Amino acid sequence: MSEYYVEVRNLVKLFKDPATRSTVRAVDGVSFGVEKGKLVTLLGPSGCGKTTTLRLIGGFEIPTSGEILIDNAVVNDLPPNRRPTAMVFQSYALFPHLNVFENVAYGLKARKMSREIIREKVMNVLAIVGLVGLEKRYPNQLSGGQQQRVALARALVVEPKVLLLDEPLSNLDAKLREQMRVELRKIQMNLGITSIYVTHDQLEAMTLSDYVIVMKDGKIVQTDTPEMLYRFPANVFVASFIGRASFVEGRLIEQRVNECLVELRNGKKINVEIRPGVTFSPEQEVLLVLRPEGGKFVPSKEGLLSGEVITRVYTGSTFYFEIKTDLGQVSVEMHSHDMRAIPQVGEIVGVDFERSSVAVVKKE
Amino acid sequence: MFTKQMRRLLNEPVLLAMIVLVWVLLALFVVYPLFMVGLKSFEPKPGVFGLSVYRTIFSKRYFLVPIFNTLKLGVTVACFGVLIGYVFAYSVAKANVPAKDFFRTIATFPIVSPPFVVALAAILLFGRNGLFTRKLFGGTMPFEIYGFWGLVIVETLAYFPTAFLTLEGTLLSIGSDLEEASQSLGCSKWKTFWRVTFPLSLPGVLSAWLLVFSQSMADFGNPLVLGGKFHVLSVSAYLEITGSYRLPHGSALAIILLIPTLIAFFVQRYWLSRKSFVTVTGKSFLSKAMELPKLAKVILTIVCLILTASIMLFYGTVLFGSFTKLWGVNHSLTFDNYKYVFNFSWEYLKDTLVLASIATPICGVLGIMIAYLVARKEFFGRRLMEAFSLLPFAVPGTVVGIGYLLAFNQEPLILTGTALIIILVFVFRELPVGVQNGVAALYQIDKSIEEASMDLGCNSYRTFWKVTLPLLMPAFFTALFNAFVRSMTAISAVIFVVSAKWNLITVRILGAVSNGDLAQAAALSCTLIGIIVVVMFLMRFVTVNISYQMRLRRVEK
Repeated sequence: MSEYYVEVRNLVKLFKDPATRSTVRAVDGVSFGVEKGKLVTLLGPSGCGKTTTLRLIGGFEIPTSGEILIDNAVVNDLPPNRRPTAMVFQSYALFPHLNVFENVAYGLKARKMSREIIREKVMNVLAIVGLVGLEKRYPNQLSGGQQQRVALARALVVEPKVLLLDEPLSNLDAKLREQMRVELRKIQMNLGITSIYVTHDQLEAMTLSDYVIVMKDGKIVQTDTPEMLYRFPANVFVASFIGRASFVEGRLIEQRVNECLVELRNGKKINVEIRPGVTFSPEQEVLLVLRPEGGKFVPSKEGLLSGEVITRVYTGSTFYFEIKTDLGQVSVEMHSHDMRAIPQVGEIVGVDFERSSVAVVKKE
Repeated sequence: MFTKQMRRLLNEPVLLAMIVLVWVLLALFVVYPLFMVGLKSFEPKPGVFGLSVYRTIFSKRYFLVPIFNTLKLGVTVACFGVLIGYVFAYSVAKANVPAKDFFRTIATFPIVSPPFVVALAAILLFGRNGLFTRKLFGGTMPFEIYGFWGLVIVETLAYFPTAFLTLEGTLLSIGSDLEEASQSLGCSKWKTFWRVTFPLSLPGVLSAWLLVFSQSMADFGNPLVLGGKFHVLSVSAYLEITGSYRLPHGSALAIILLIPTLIAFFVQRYWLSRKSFVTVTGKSFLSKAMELPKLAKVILTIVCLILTASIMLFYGTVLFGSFTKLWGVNHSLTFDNYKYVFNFSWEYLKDTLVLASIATPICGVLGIMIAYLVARKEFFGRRLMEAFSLLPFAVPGTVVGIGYLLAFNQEPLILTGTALIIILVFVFRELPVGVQNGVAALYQIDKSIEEASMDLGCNSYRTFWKVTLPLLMPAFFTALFNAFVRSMTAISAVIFVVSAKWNLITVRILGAVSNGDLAQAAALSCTLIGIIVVVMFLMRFVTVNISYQMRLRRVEK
């Protein structure tokens, strides 16, 4: 018995690229587990293998090697229609020849349920996604957000053990996307449905997930809660992919239990918090990860870094600065209601960072 | 609104001149001949008008039988053609059968070859001296190849590619995500096909059915060669006019032939096209081939194999036949038939090449010009201009031929017997492809691209040459290729306008077949196919070097 509801063991998927005739390792030895009722996000840039992984779990691709378990049963050899999964497609894939009701009822009919039960279940799920009254509409008579809800309802109504979501919000405009994001999470938590979500939008991953799995080139780079991912990125890729960060080179002097001492090129030293269990070798070249929102301005000689403000952008809620220092360019973000002095472009400033906004990764 | 448009047009004299020119040409060479056919059918004796011709036709068995025969043949061929076309299209587009490029190439063969070559092959194989008749059935065929079933086989083979291409397009446009969604929701592949794929492809099925139906209705070469006692409208109309010199009766039969094909055309074009389910999502999807169960895949592959094998058998027979001494009697190989072709039929070949080569560029330029006017300019009667320029799609060649015969045999335009009348038939018969491709290509080119060019300082004339035309090149070359090939292989319309001075290779082949010179007919057909293949390669070479799409593709590699 595994503690996980969904488990993927050493999954590999090779593709033949028809253009170059070479073999592409789309998914390259991926293993992870999802606990019951949790929402896990596969996050990564396009081509990192996240969608292929999802399609492997859904049964649309056949793995080259490895195992997929759902509720402790190996499902490798089951076709999609016999797997306890339901997928929400990026394109929604609504059947254009069926109306909303028929679209949602589709999976129930496939399960040969009685007319009354189908009616009841469809109406229930339409109430959950807020589409009551639109049953007779056809997909091309719906707005993007409504189509999205139908796609979700259609997958939810068959009560799958696992809900698979392939970039479901990427076709919506920014405002609607934010709204659907919150709604999606609410529905998922209320129903307690185990979900695997694929996205390339780090903000989406952070706000939705219990766990985030960051992927790159077919491999998993880091698996963590959103907070830990942000606070302790495993490497430069994760640090720069998730949130904004500036990097400054340094050398590790000393490692203690959960912090280490790093010396910068300008001679300044700084104590950086690290997560327990991570080890660096002494004298190792490292990069400091500096989150802009933890930055603050100090008199020019006092800060960790000093330099000239070269950009100042007002975004409404914040001021965003770029500072050219002797160790490279760093960014600082300040709340616009911050009462402290706001520097001008061309000003020479010192910059310091809150302890909670600094992390350290190995230099690659 | 109308006056405003007129005023704007008056400010652009070149545009106005183009519009007037196109209208005059369409009126003269598309509408006027058709009008003459209609008029003639109501004119039993010169100067006397009335319904007596139609009364005769609808009361005599002699005329009624071809009407029913034509419809019966059309419906049967359309049903078989669509069925086979669907299986073939599904195998190639959705089922991921092996060697699909090969299947695809072979299946499109009948489209570019002369239409009656399949009939010729059928005679070579199943005729009285046929290879199969002699070797397999010992001299007597279990069924008569001359007649209804022979025509069904031949026309199905000749026209199923149309259904195949239409349905392939339809099936490819059904996103595989829909099929995956269906499976994800619990339907098996079999159920997914019947609940999602098939219902979504229905508009395409109907469309393909109507296209094949029209093609079969309009077919002239195959029924003439293979019809035997089974008369169809196109052949009857031809015989009425050239055999019995009864122009009114021939015209009336032509009009009766025209009505169902026109209906089929308008239903297909203006009603079905709106029924389509495609273009629902704005997202571009890949149509991935679904992995079918082994057994299904094997069955589909076998069906495709049988079909391509029979196409290859038919064409191979013609090729073989062209090298034999005397078909059915002496099968020793010889080049005599080809010598004969170049000695005695060279004039026909030369005329065909010359006339088609003159007609092709005119047809291409005119087609693109009309497409540009229709898709990019605002003027009164724009839609009507498009409809008229597409009309030749719907009109059977026989009707056009009779129309030209009637219209240009009298003042003010006497063209009968000239090369010009043949060129005109070529140009206006093949005009629709250029217009249609051009319009489609222009609708795909975002107007903002042209606006950007104007914004950057090019006037509309320069914009057309520098931006629009290069983007239109692929459509233009397709139109050229199509016009050339179809002119080289045309028969149903031109047979009415050829003369002793200007004759065509296809007419010569039909003559050879009816004289029983099968080996020579085969050699002539092979020569014609050879020319088409050479032109096809030339065209591809030109397209590769000129069109920007190809250049892009090369850069990507």
